[in-house]
Amino acid sequence: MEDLDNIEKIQTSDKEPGLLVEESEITSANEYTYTQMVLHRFLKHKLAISGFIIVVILILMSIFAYWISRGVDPTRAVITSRFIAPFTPGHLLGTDDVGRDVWTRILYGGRVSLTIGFITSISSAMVGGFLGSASGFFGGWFDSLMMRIVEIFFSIPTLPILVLLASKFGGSMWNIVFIMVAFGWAGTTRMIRGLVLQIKQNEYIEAAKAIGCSNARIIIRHVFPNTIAMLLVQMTLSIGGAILTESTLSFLGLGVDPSTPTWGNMLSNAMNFMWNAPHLIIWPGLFIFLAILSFNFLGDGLRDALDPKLKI
Amino acid sequence: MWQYIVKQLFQRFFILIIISFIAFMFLNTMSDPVEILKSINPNIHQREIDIYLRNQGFNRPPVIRYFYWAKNVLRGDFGKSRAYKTDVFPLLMRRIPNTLYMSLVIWCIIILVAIPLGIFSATHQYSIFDYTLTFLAFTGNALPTFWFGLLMILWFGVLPPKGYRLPFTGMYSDTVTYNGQIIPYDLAPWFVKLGDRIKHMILPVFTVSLLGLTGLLRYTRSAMLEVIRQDYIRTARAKGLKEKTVIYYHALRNAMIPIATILIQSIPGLFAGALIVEQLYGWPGIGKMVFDAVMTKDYPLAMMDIMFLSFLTVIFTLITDISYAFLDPRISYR
Repeated sequence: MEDLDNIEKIQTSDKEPGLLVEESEITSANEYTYTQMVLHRFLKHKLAISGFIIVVILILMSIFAYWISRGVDPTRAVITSRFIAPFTPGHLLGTDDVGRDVWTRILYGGRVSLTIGFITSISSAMVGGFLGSASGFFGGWFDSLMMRIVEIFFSIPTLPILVLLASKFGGSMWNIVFIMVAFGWAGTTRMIRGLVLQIKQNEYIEAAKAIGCSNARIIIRHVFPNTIAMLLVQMTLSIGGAILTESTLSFLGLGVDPSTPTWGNMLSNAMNFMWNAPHLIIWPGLFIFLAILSFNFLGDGLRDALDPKLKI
Repeated sequence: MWQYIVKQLFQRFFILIIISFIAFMFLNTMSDPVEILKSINPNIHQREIDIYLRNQGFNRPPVIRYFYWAKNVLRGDFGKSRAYKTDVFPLLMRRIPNTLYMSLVIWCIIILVAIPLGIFSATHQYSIFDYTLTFLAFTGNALPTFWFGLLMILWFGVLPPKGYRLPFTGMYSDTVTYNGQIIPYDLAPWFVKLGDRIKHMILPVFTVSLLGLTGLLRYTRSAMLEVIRQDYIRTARAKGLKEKTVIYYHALRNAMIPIATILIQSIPGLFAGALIVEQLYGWPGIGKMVFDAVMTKDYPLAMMDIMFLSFLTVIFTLITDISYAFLDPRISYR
């Protein structure tokens, strides 16, 4: 994963191939603030920029779904116009098995899928960040207990348990989010714990201790700011994963209630009509794919911009 | 070393016990046996329900039931499947070969393709080939398995004209054509059976291996790059060794350490199968069995599967840890 920043470095350095040049001169110059440096590195990362643009477009699409679809109701079924082919006037992406407009459903489905992705990853990052930094900073019995719990979560076959929980509690978006967070915090916790252990080795922590800073001050002023980069990157990268998990559960028939369109349950519905309307399979999946890909690009670019040495 | 292994074994055994407790609680508090009985026979008499509950031990609280379950497991009895009405252990054993057929083929394809491509990508860093592979790896990473699988079904199983379609349900057909006649699968000679099985395997194997490739490819590439930057590689080059010797003898051998450990780590996944792919292609493997068991509330079977998969994961994590020490003499465990 660390190679993309190398690619970037090479592009910014002279044309000589294979020669690794340190960060471009802007990082070493003192007249630039950290924010400017991050922004500069991010703007030069072409994949990240394209990922960012797609993400913004997807978000705008789902926010303004009502206006973009010109007020069409995503659940309105017109039984006389089933399986209309895509690119027909009035139905940009055609209609599904009960005559609902696919393009409208994609727009509204994006709302649910993206919301689930954002909320799940933000909550996982918060829980993981809190528990990870606590167990990394304090160590001792709390740390060993947390690490045992994390290990248990890593050894449980996640998908069967997710299927079990979703089959019982699924249906509502919030339950799905809750289930996904319950199984998503462990990875972040372990990662942040490792990072905090590393940060603790630094001299400035020792210095802070030596001048008598309280634990709370050390955590808030010295440890936490150093974990933000990783948390942010981890969060961005896990949005794609959350969208994927949600759509997988929907695909298995366990996600959000079919009356609310999501990309996942549109796909699972389309599967039944593969012979009549193969085009129904393509659109929802394409949007899931686009969303995951662009969040991954964005996360990768963010990582390189915030901290090129970071390894996730 | 042995001390380390024994200590770890105890720790992981403890983890397994906790997992079994959690899974048992999840499974048992989430189903109402009366509801299941009534769904099978709506007119069931209350007395029959009581007898069933007492016979099955459902009148006790789940925690107590867990200890009964654990006692039986220690005796080698994992309980009876509610759907199949037989012991769950042989049921699981019967599914293992089905999953292994597919996943071993996938594993071999992934290894044979990803490692050479990864090495090539690393030795030709920043070439057009490397960029393309990196981009493809990103794409493959973001493709949802079920969507890609559906597209494969669509393009190779649905859209082609009849006679050119690849099968996409199950492990073999009910009937096969032999000598121009349609005969039942069981009566066909072995080579016809084999051909039929291979045909059924093409789509799932292609789907999983193409998506699974990307991870190992990226991993090989970065492991290789890491090694190539080391001083001893520079020394080897400075000695005037041939580039081939440097790459394949000095670099690859060191890069193989992380690669080998990640391969060991992926072995439990071979048994776990891909739940999604098996579900999508109707492949009667372990993944599909877990899913069906959970969905039909066949909890003894689900419990057996979950424990089997966790057991493999736990054991192989330990083996991965130990293998580091065997593969890399610089690492030692107290």
